[in-house]
Amino acid sequence: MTERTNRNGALGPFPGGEGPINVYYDQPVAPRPPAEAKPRRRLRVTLIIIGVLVVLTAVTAAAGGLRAQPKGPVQSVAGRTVNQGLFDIQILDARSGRMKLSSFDPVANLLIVRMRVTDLGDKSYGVGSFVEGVTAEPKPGKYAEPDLMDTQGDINGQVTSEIHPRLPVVVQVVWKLGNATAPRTLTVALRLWEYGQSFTTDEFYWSVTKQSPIKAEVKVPVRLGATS
Amino acid sequence: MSAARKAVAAVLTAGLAALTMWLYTVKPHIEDRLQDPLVSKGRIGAAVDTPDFSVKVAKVDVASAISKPSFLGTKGKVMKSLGLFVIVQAQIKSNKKPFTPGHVRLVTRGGVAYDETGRADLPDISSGFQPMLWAPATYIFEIPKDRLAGARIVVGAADLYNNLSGETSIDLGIDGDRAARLAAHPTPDYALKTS
Repeated sequence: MTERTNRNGALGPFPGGEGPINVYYDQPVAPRPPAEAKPRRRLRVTLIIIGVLVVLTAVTAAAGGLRAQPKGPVQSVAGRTVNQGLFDIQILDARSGRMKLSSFDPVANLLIVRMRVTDLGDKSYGVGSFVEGVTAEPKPGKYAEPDLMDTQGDINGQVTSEIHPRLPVVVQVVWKLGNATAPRTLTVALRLWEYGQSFTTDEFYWSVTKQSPIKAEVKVPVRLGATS
Repeated sequence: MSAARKAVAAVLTAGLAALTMWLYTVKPHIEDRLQDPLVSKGRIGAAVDTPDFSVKVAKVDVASAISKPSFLGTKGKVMKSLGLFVIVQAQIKSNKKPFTPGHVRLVTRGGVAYDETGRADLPDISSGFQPMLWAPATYIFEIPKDRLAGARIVVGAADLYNNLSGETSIDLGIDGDRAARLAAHPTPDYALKTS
């Protein structure tokens, strides 16, 4: 006995019922042989898959892939080099007191942080652009911007205004304190320089703004009572 | 399906999955440089022209320190570099109207570009150049010792540039051998002529 089935069953039979067209659609279909259950084989495959997953997870864990990612800024201390995206920065020291920067300046209450800066990019940046990415964090979440005009670069004790690729420059970042006193330990916050495309042109460039996320927080002891 | 085919399929699947993850990180970089100026290329010794100005590099010196003359002929300040000073002596003339050069940089291998030194004690030339008159210009750069080979000096216009501005790119003719020689024995104390 053959079981006749119509593939267009849902639409009902074609007009003309047993016409020549339906020869193609009304092919006899052999009944499916009942699937032979192989529980042992299936169990083995499942075990192999689970085993592979366990091994992969173990390897990932051994390679450190499951360790929690550090959240928030990198915490560092003076003397250690931190990466800021475009620059590598090593904070050298900090001093504070009533002093003058050059012989013609009036004496002022200043906080000065020296840092060795290496440009990792492929063009030169002015010291003024670099300072945009540096701020002080007197209290967590509170930032104090340095003084742009007094901040200067220094190579072998001579003033420079440019930071060139792979030529380290010591940048002296200055905060004017007014009547405030400097903390014994200062937290310098370094903002993240990001590489991206300009909104209006096809140019790609590194940029940092006052809203950029903080990449690193560096604790540096301040030498109080400095006079030069 | 045989075990071998299964293994091949598994490896292929893992490969395709990895490829998908890599593709996800690929972002289109539309860098067709529509806004870059038109570059005229040339070599040291020859005049390189753009419609607005012409540049001719006469001489290149490499020094480890520069000294600046001071008043009354006394020995002035000596500036030492952590790398090398590259002193490029050029002649510039305008072709149309008074011209001020700008965006001057030393482009080294791999496209790494160095602006002028920025040393406070070295003079910046800011003078303009007049039509039909060649006038001297000295540019001083500071680069690491290993970036000398194949350096080119690029001179553009000071005003905001667009895709029709001209720029000259001049090969300083420093090949690998010469670069090694110059880097090993730079002029120990280059005396700057102008104060």
